Amino acid sequence: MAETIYSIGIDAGTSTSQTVLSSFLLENHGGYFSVPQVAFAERQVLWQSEIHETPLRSAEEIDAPALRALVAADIAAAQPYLNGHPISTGAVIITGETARKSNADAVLKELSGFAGDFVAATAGPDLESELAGRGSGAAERSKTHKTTVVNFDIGGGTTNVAVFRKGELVGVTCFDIGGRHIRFDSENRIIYMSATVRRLIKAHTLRVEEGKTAAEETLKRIAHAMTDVLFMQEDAYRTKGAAQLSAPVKALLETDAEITFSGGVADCIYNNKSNPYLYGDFGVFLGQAIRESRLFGKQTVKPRETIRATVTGAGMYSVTLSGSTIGYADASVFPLKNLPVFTVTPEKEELLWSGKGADELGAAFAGFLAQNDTDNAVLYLEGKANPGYMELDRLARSVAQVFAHAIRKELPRIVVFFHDIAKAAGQLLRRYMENGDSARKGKVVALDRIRVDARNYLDIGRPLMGGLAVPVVVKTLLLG
Amino acid sequence: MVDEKLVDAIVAAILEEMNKAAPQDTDPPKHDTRQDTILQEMQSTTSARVGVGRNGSRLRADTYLNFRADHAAAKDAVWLDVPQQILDDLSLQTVQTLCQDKNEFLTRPDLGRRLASESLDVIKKLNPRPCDVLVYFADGLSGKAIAANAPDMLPILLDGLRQQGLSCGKPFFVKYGRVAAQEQIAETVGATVVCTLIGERPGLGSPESMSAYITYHAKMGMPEAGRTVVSNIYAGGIPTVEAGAYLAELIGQIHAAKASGVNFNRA
Repeated sequence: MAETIYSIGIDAGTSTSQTVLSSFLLENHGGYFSVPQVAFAERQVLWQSEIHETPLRSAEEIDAPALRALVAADIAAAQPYLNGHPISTGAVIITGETARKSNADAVLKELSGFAGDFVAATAGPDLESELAGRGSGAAERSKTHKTTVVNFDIGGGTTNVAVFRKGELVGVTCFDIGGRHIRFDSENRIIYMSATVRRLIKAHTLRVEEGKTAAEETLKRIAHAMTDVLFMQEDAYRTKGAAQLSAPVKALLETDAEITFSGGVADCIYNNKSNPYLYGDFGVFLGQAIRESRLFGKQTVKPRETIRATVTGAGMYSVTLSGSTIGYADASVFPLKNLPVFTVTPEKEELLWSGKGADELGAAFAGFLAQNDTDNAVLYLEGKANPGYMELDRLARSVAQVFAHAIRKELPRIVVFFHDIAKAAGQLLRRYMENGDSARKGKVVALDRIRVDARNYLDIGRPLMGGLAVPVVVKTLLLG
Repeated sequence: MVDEKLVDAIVAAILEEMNKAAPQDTDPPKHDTRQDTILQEMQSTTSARVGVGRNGSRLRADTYLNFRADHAAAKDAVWLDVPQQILDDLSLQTVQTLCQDKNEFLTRPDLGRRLASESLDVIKKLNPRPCDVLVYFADGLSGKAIAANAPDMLPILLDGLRQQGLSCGKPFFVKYGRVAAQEQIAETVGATVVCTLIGERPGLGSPESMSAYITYHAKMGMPEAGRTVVSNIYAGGIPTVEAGAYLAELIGQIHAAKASGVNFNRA
C-alpha cells in the first residue's frame, strides 16, 4: 500500500519570498508479516516559483495584500502539477527581518489558512535554521556520509546556522547578519544601514554615512567585521529568541565538519561577482568576505539548494509522521492546529507511572493552559521502551486524571509519547474515559515517535494510509 | 679509569637511537578513526554480526564466545518448557498435542498439529459456548517467548477485544503446539476468529520473539494463505503491550471483514 500526498512550502523572507510544491510518497515498510511502519519513501520537488521580492508597505509593515496576491498566483501556477489532488500539508514560514514586522502574525495566519487546510503557520529563528539546513541538503549529506555538516543559511536579514551529525540536528543558532543590512541606490549611495552595521562601524571607528557613497575598502572592512561575528557567541549579535549553538563555530571548524552555505548570499560566496552593487545591497560584499574567511576552505561543499533552501525545507521537511500504531477513535477531531505542548519532567512522569502525582500535575496543566490563554494543549511524556501491562495501566489511569483536571470534557485529550506505546496507552486511556463520562468517548488522541520540547507547538493532520499514521508538524511560533 | 667522554658519547648514541625508535614504539600504525566510526554506525543499525573482524583464519575470541552464548540461548528457547508458575498466574490450563515429548515434537511436525480427543474435551469444557474470538498460547519453537510476552500480552489484548464488544473464549496453553493446530481447536470451540500466540523459531539473539497467527473461520485443510501473521513481538521488536493493542484492533478488523490472510487487505 502506498499513498502520495502533496505539500506546499512558502517562505516570506527579509528580501525574497518563494513557493515550492512537492510530493511525498508514503509506504508501509512494515512488511506483510509485521506491524505497520509508515515512512516517507520519496520526497520530490514538483514545482518552484520565481524568487519574488517580499512586498513591504513600510519599514515596519508587510504589504499583506500584495504578498497574498503573489502566493495566490504561485498556487494557481502550481495547479497543473497537482493533477487535481488537494494540497494536503506544508508550511508557511515567515523568516528573517520579515518575522519582526508589525503585522507578521496576521499575515502568517492568513497565508497558512489560504494555502490549505493543514498548512502550518510557523516562525522562529531556530526552526528557520533547521528547515534551511534540511532544505539545503546538508542534513541528508551528513546522514549519507556519516559526518558533521554545518549549514549557514545567509539571507537578507539573518544568518541561520544548523549543525547536523549523522543526519541528526545537534545545534542551531541565528545571527543578525545578512545581505540587506546595507542598501544602496542606483548611484551606489547608502540608503539604509541596520543597527548591527551601525554598531560595527562604531566599534571599528569607520566613517560611513547614509545618503553618501562609501569607499569599497570600508565596505569590505564592514563585511569582514560582520563575518567575524559568526565566530563569536555574544548575545548582542544573536537574534532574539535564538538558541545558543552547542559548540561555537570556531570549535566546529577545528573538527572535520563540512560547511555548506545556502540563502541568497550563498551565490555570492560560491561565485565571484564583478559588480559588488549588483543587487543594490551589501550581499556581494558579505559573500566575498565570507569567501576570504576561515569559513571557506577545503571543508566547504556546495549544497543541493542555496537560495531556495528555507522554502524547500518548509515544504519538504516541516512535516513528520507519527508512529504507525497510534490511538484515536474519532478521526473527525483532526486537523488539530497550534497546540502548545505541556512537557512533563522525568521525575513527575515517574510518579505518574507509579500511579501518583496526577492531581498536582493536573493543576499544573490547568495553570499552563490559563497562562497560554488556550483551552487545549498536548500532554507530552517520554514513555518507556517496553513497559509492562500493569505499569502502563497505572500510567493511563493517572493521565486520565490529569486530563480530568485540566481539559473540558467535550475537547479531545491529546497525549504524545516519544516511545512506541501510544496504541496501548490510548486503548487503556479510553477505558478510563468511558468509565467516567460518555461525552469523553472517542476523544482520546494518543500519538508516539514524536520528539518535542516545551517551546514547540504541534499541528496534527488527518490520518494517512488508511488511518495508520497522522502527519505532524512540530514547530515554533516566535515572532520578533 | 673510565673515559667520561666515551661514556657520554655512548649515552648520547643510545639516546639518539632510542629517540629514533620511540615514535615507532609508541605510535601504532596510523589508524583511520573515521572508518571505525562508520563501522560502529553500521553495526548499530543491525543485530546481525557485521564487521566482526577475524584473527588469522578464525573468528576473534569475543565474537566466537558471543556466538556460542547466543546459540545456547536459542537452543534453550527450543528445549525449555514454559515455567508452570507463569501459566498458573495467567490461569492458563495446559493441553498437549499428539506429541509425547520434545524430541517427538521436533521430529514429527504432523503430530504437533493434532490434539487427542481428551485434549479437545478439555478445551471444549473450558469453552462450552462458541465465541467471536479465541486467543490461546502455544510454545512452538520457543517456550521463552511465551514466558517473556504472555503476562503483558494477554490482558491488553483481551481488554481491547472486549472494548470492541467481541466475546472472547477462555485462553489456555497448548504444549508441543504448532500453528496449524489452530484449525482443529477453532472448529472444536466454534470460534469465528482464532488467534494463536506462538513462540517463533529463535534466531541468534532473539530467543524471546513471539508471533500471532490470526485466522477467520479456521477449518481443517485450509490453505496456509488464510492466516494473517504479526511477527517480531518482543522487547527488541514491537513492544509487547503495543503489539497487544494493535492485535486487538487487527482482530476486530478481521472479524468485521470476515476474512483473514491474503483475502484480508490490511491497511
